[in-house]
This record gives sequence, structure tokens and C-alpha cells, in this order.
Amino acid sequence: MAFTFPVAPTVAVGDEITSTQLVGLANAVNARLRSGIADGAERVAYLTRNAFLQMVNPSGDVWSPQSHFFTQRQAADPEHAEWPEGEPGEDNGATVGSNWPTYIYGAAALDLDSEAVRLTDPNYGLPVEPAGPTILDHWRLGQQQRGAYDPATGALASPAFTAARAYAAIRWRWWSPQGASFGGYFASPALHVTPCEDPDATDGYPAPPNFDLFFTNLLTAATTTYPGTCQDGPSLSVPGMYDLHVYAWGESPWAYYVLLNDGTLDELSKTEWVIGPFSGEPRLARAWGSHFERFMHRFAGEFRGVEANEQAMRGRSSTKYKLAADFGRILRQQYLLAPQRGVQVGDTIEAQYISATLGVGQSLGPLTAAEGCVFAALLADGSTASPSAPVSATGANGLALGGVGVSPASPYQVLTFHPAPTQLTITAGTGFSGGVTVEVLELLEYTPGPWDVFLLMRVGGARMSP
Amino acid sequence: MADSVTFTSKLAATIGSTTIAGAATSTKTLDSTSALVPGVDVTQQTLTSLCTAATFHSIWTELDMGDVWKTSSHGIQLRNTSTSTTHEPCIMVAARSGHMIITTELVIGQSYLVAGGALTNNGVVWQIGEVLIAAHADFTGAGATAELLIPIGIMFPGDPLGPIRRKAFTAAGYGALGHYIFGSAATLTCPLEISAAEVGDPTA
Repeated sequence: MAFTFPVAPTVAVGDEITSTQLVGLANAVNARLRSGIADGAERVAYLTRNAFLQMVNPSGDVWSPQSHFFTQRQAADPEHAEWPEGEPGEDNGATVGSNWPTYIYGAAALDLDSEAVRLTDPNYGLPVEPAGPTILDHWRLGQQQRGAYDPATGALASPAFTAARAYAAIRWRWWSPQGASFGGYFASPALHVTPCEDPDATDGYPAPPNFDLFFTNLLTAATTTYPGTCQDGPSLSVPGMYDLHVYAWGESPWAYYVLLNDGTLDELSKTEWVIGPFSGEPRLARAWGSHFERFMHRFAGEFRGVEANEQAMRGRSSTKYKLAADFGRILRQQYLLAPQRGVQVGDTIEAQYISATLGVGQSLGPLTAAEGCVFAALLADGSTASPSAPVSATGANGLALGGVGVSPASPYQVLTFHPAPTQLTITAGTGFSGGVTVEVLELLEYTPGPWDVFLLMRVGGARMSP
Repeated sequence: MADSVTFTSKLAATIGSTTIAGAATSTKTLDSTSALVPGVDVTQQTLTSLCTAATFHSIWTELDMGDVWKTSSHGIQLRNTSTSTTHEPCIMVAARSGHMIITTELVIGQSYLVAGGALTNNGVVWQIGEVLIAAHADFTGAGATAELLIPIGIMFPGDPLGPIRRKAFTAAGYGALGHYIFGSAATLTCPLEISAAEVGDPTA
């Protein structure tokens, strides 16, 4: 059966959009929605509804309708009736099994703190208050935020990374409409030739299917495979025979996670790997609606407005325009809150900052960054340099990276490097007495993900207290 | 998609125990294509009705975009636009909560700028720099007219999750959050256009 649809009119670049073209666009969209193909209208409605589904706990056992927010609550005037009436997680309180309340209030079941704790608590989340107003105070705060990374062991402990990614713990059961999109038939792994043994012959459940789960490298086409998806249990012919089988797998916006029966957790970055592609029986399922990601990306990316606004801003005031965060530029540069190079000692990683006090004409370096790290910035301290000390930085082959001047009156300056080099020499100039102390950021080479930029903008843009 | 946002002003019904004569509502729409005059024409509400001596008159305005936008800076600016030198109204600029910021006499033709202040929205006190800007000016004096302006530095995204946290997640709150999730609220794009406006002295 053939389908034909009207083509949306094309508007030439630079032309004003005419009402005829807008009508043509609407006709093109509406014709497709009305045709019913691919359930377009239902998908839009379903995705919208599932962003704000079942937001309030019941009083007792009777739950409100799933779409209660849309049908009733959004019309409540807050000057007359607040809702939810109870505390989060309690009767008549916000449901911490629902997307946005969970994001805001956290949920014990997900081991997720509230957003205020995750993003602003110095003890259990991200420290955001400097000890004082100086550049040094902010530099030290940055050290607390970024944590450390040991390139030798790969171990990483970073409050900034953790705070930015913690939200991804919010995932619901695969059959729940909460936070889900409309879904459909998705490709699933093929079955292994060898079926699983029944791990527990007494529980009344059959043996699980033995799926052939694998991932394909996006650059090399190499595959990471797993022996199967059979489960451990008391009835196996050989105890522990399925230790290396997959217990469960899941994904976040940045990685796939595969948990084995022996407790091993594999992380496969989405910049390198894609799940499958599978050739097994199509499976009817829902897909993650990405409501959080849509919100976060747009929020972080809109500080200069949508393109038309951005152009208007630039035309009116380049000064104001430049003050607004440039999402595109931030994403292309080394993330300054990436973890500092460190050394793992037992269960901790100690950040190691290279520092030195330089006299007239003295240099630090050339320094070579550890594997997987780059030099991102330096702090110059001229509190004992009189009258003022110039400090310059060069990269490989003498490439000038910039310079700063510090003095007792203005003792601290930070110099950032874009692009961040792997070789660095820092030199104090002449014309001063005393010394100038420098400290270097040697960070995990990492350009920020949208979730990282969202963290910065969210912390900078909102108080998260009630 | 219209890049516009609507600002609403109205004559307050009562201030304290004093009843204001009359009530009116006016709407001003700023279109992104209109020629905004930086520092002057950002938001401007003009009270044109004549006052009656010894009564309080009020103009107040509110950028009721709730939690979507914040400002890097903003002010509340009042100008006595009376033409007669016989009228020197006593002017009080107050936040929506009724909190007084200044009380002074305005010289005719002169402007006065007040840097922000404690504002409230649904019982929550907003700090300077946060988005909700609400102000009113009350004044006495016969034949007086005044303009209330809110110069804005930069507006940037605020806290669209605030309405849920404050138990005030209404259709407006949904509009704020939905704007980010679904990109559907066209009227929310205008403040970034306004953000280009400089904060300046309109009398300069």
C-alpha cells in the first residue's frame, strides 16, 4: 500500500517565512499525523504525558489517575491550594517514583540524594562555596570539586563527575510508562545455540533465555562479547559455571553497563561502543523518553538563546553577548573540572598538583603530562614578588600559550590553555625580587558532556533550597 | 512562532487601608522585531490617569515568567512625568510584598533607579538577580503621572524546577519546564532578546 504526503515547502536562506509556507508546513505535518502511520500523534501525547506521570502519592491505597497532573493539578492556583500536601515520599506527598519529584527530592530506593545535596552539599555532593572571595579561594574550591584520577590504575574519584551524572540513576522498570517514550519493536539479541541450565529447579520458573549480548566498536568494528545471560543458582551442574555470564545490562547517556554474575561491572563508553547490532527476534518494548536529557541540554545550551536571539543579541551589544555562556565553545574545550592526575593509595586517590616557586628568569619544565592527561591551566601566586612578576607559559617547540602578571597587590592569577597541551614550560620573567609560585592543572583529557555543562549552569543559575 | 512576551500592568486595588479610585488593566507587548531603546524601553508602564490629591495611586508591573529566567541585574526605575511643576508627588517604590525600598519625592522629569530588592513569589522571597521582577509605585498628588521602568541587564535561564519544589507546579510551571523539555513555549524566547538591552540612565 502506497502512501503519499504533501511536501513541506522549502524556505530559501535569508528569506522571510511566509504564511503560505507556514500553512504548507502545518499541512505536511498534519497529513502525516492524521494518517496514523507510526502512531505519530500518540507518540507525542505519550511522551508528553510520561514526563509528568503519577506525581503524587495516594492517601492510603487509592492512587490518582496517572495523568492527574494534566487533568487537574496544573489548574490549581497555588495561592489557594498547594500540592502535594504531604512531604516527598509520604502520603499525599510527591511520588519519589516519578520522574521530576525523584530528580528534585531524590529517592532512597535509587540511592539518590536530592538535587540540592547532589549539586551543592559540601559533604555529600559538590562543594560550591569558596572559603573566601579571592582567586586562590576559587582555585582551591576547584580542587575540591574535580577530585583526582590515577592514570596508572584508571581509578577516578571526582565530585564534579559524580554530581553531574548521579541523575542517571533514575531509571524505571522496563514495563513502566514512567519517563518512557511510546516504544515499539526493538531488535534484541539472538539466542545462543546452547540454552541455559535451570539455575533453580525448585522455584517453578524455567531456565532464562541465553542471549548473545555483544557490543561493536564504532572505530574498529571489533566486538566485545559475553558468554551468555544464564543465571547463577543452586541447581547448576557445575557451581559457578555462569560466573562470567551477564546478570543485567543497562545504559546511561554516556555508557553501557554490563553486570556479570560474579559482580564484575563493565563500562563501555558510548563514544566507542554501540550495543549490537542485534539480529534476534524483535521485542515489543518502551524506550527511555530522555526527558531529563532534553531538559538539561536545552537549559545548558540556551544561555545565548536560540539562534535568532543570539544573532539579535550580538547585533545589539557584543559586550552583553559575550557575557552569556557559549555552549558550543565550552563543549569543544578541555573541561576544567575534569579530575586532576593523582595516585591511588588503597581506596583513595591523592591528587598531585605540580608546583614550584620561581625566581627571576627561572623555569619549571619542560613538563610532560601523564598518559591521558593534559595541562589545562596554571595558578600564579605573586604575593612575595616585588613589585610585580610576569609569568609566561610555552608548549611544545616553544609555542607561546600566554602569560600573566602578579604582584602583592594582585597576587593571584589563573591562566588557562586552549587547546590544552601535553608539554608545558613555565617561566618567570625579570624585573622583580622575591619569588612567584606556580601550580599546574594536569587533568584527565576530557571535553565536557552536556551533563557536565548542565551541572555548571544549574549550580550557577539556581538556588536549590526550598 | 512569535518572539514576543506580554507584560501586564494594572492598578492595584488597595494599598494598605487606602482604597484606590478606579482600576484598570493594560497590556504591553514587546515584539522582538520592534525597536527597543536600550535602557529605556525595556519594560515601561505609564500611568496616565490623573491622581486625586491625598489618595494613593499605584502602578505595578510584573514579568511573570516565574522560574524560567533570571537576571544578572535589574532595577526598579521611576520617573515623574508630570508636566506641571505644581505637582511633586510623594513616591514610594515597593516590591510586590509591600516591602518598601525607597520613599522620596521625585523631581518632575527626573528618574530614580533602585537596585532590585526583596521580592516575593508565592510566598518565597526572591533574591536580587532572580527572575521575578515585580514592583509597584504608589504616589499621591493631583495631576501626577509617572512611569515605572524595569531596566534589565542580562536575563538567563532560571530555575524551571522551582515550581515543583515549592509545591506550586501549575500550568505556568509546566510551561516553564515544558519549554526546556519540549521546546514549545515560544513566548519564552523574548527575554534573551531583551537581554541585549543595556542598563542605563534614561535621562542621559
